[in-house]
Amino acid sequence: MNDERRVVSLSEPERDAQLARAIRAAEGSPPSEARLEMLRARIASAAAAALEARRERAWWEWMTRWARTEVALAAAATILAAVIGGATSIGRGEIGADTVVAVPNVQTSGARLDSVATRAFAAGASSEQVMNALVPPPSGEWLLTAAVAR
Amino acid sequence: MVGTASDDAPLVDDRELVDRVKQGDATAYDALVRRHLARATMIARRLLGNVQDAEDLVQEAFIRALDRISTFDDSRAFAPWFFRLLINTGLNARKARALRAAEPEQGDYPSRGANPLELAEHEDLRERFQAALASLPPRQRLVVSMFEVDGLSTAEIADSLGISRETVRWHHHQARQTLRQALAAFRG
Repeated sequence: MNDERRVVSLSEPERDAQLARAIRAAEGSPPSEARLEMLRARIASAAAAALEARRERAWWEWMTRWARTEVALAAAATILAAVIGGATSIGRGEIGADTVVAVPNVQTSGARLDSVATRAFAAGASSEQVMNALVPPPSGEWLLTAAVAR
Repeated sequence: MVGTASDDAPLVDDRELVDRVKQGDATAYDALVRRHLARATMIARRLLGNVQDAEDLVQEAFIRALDRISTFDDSRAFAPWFFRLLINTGLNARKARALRAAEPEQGDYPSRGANPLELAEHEDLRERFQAALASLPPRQRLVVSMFEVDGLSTAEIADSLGISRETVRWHHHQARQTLRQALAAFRG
């Protein structure tokens, strides 16, 4: 049987018109249009409830999907509004035309530094001593060295 | 008008109809039913041999298809999927319930003008051939009818029955041998 099956499976069979006619005759005529139409109406009626349920489910799925997006958008909009609104109220409340803003006077501080260094040099301090006074070394050893030297 | 599955250029693709049916579109479902109803009814009649049972089976298959439409793989064709569902339901129905007695079907009767001898010969041939066809296992009967009468290819039949093309050709070969013997015996 296996050999025969292999031979059978090699190619698409030829169609046999005489056999087709005989089968058609034995099977009877195909169902009439009227009979098919009645069957179609029966099927449509039987499927109505299932289709209605499907429509409702599809609507709810659509609503849920959009609701999720809408909640996210609303949250983002609220946060954005809060940020923008807060910044505006800070500006309105605290900054005016006559407000004096304290800015560190870098130039003054630099001048003070210059005068300290000038006076130290005038008193005969070495450049190392001046540097040590201005920029503290990493350890306290310099203090001990200075005391011994005195 | 109720169409057939072999409509050459359907205006709307089966896939699009299936998409709409998934959303509960009754018009799309109706279009899908119209498109496949005639072939489904013929297959059901071949399986059950009774018009009333065949129509019940077709209705059941279409309702089952609707219930399972969410599991349908959109990348595949609808017709083989649906016919496989129909055939499996039909084969189970054959096993599960006692079928109504076969109704006399309107066949390819000779004209009223034929003489009594021709009429008797024709009737004898039809009965013998019908008996041979009925004696075939259900799958063989389906395969030979779908191939010879409906004009489907072995690949399309294989897809509808959920079996290999080789098995389809084997069933076809076996069925054709049995039926040709019935025809030859009558002629001889």
